[in-house]
Amino acid sequence: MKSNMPLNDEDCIRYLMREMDPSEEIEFEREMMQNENLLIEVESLRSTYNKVRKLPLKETPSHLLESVQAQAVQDQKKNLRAALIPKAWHTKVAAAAVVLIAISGAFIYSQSDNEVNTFRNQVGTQSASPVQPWVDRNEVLNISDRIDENRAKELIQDFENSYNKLMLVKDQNTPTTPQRQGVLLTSSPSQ
Amino acid sequence: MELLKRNTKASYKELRDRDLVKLFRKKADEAAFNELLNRHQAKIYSYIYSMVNNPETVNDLFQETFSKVVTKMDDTYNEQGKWIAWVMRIAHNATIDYLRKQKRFVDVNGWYDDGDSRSDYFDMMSDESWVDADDQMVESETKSSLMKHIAKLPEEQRTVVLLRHYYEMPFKEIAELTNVSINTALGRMRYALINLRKYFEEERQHEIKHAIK
Repeated sequence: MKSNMPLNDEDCIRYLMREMDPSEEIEFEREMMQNENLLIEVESLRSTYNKVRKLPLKETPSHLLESVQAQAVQDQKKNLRAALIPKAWHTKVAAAAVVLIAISGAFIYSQSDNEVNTFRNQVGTQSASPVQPWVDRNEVLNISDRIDENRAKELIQDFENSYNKLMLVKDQNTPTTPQRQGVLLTSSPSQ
Repeated sequence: MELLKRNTKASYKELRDRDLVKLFRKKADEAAFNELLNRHQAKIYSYIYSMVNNPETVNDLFQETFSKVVTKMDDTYNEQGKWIAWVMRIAHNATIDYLRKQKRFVDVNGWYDDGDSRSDYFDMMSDESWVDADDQMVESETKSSLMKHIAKLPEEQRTVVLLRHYYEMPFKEIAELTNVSINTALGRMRYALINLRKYFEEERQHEIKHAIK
C-alpha cells in the first residue's frame, strides 16, 4: 500500500524533533517503511543530532554569578524606590493644582460678582432718569432706553392712548364728492 | 500575598519561575533572584559561549543580559509567558548584536586549536559522566570536535541548533525569535545537521589518512 502523505524536507526534522502530531508521526513512519531513501535520510540525521545532543553545559564562573546577583538586586531596589518617588511627586503636584484652581475660581467669581453689581447700579441710574422719546423724519415716535418692566408698560400704554386722541377731520370747504372722499386724521383739537 | 509571607529559603526551590519573578519584582527578593539564576545560568551561559567563543566577551554579554532583564522586567515581561524564554530572547539579541557589530564570525579554529583554552573549557565541565581516563579522552575529543564543527556553522544555523539544544525551544518560538517562518527555521536545522554530518565525515577521512601515513 502506497501512502499519499505529501512530504517535504522539513518533515524529517519535525519527525526527529518530535514536533509532529501523533497521527502525522504514524503516517510518516509508515512512509519510511515504504521509502528506503527516506529511512536512510532520517536515520542519518538522527545520528548527527544525537552527537549534537552531547553538547556540554558550561557553568557560569562563580565570581560572575555573584557580581550579577548583587547588581540585579541593587538595580531592582533602585527601580522600586524610583517607582515610589514619582507617585509622591505626582500627588503633590495634583494637590497644588487643585488648590490653585480653587483660588483662581474664587477670585474670578468675586470679580464677576463685582462687575454684575456695577452693571446693576448703572442700569438703576439710567432707569431713574426720564426717558426722552423723539420723532424721526417719518414722524414715527421712538423711545429708546433701558428701563424696568413697569416703566416700559406705562410708556407703551401712553403710546397706545395717544391713538385715542386722533379725530376725524371735518373740513366744510372741501367738496364731499364720492370720488374725493377720504379720511384725514389729526391730533389737533377740532375747530 | 500569601506567597510572600510563607516563603522560607528552603521553599524557594519549590516555587515556579513565575512566583520567583513576582517576589523579585515586588520586593527585590535576593533569594528569589538567586534561585532563578541558579536554575538557568548554565543554559544561558552555554548558549552565549557557544555563539561567541570568547570568555571575556561571554562574561560581558552575560552581565549585559541580566542588566537588561532587571531594567526591562517591569515594562516588557508578561508574567503569563515563560521567564526563561523571555530571558533567552534578551540573551540572543545581545549576542546577535555583538556578532553584527564585530561584522565577522568568530575565528573558532584559532580558539579551539589553542590547547590552553581547550583545557580551560573542559576544566569547567562536570566530571560525573566521565568513568575512566580512556572514556574521558574519547569524550573530550568528541566534544571538542563537536564544538569546533558547530562553531563552523553559519550563524543562523548555529543559532537554531543551540536554541533547540539548550532551551528545547519549539520551532514556533525559534521562528519568532529569529524573525523567520517555521519552515525556514526547520530548514536551517536540517541544513545544520547536513553540514555537521559533512564536517564529521571530513574529520573521519582526515583521521584515516593520518593513520595510513
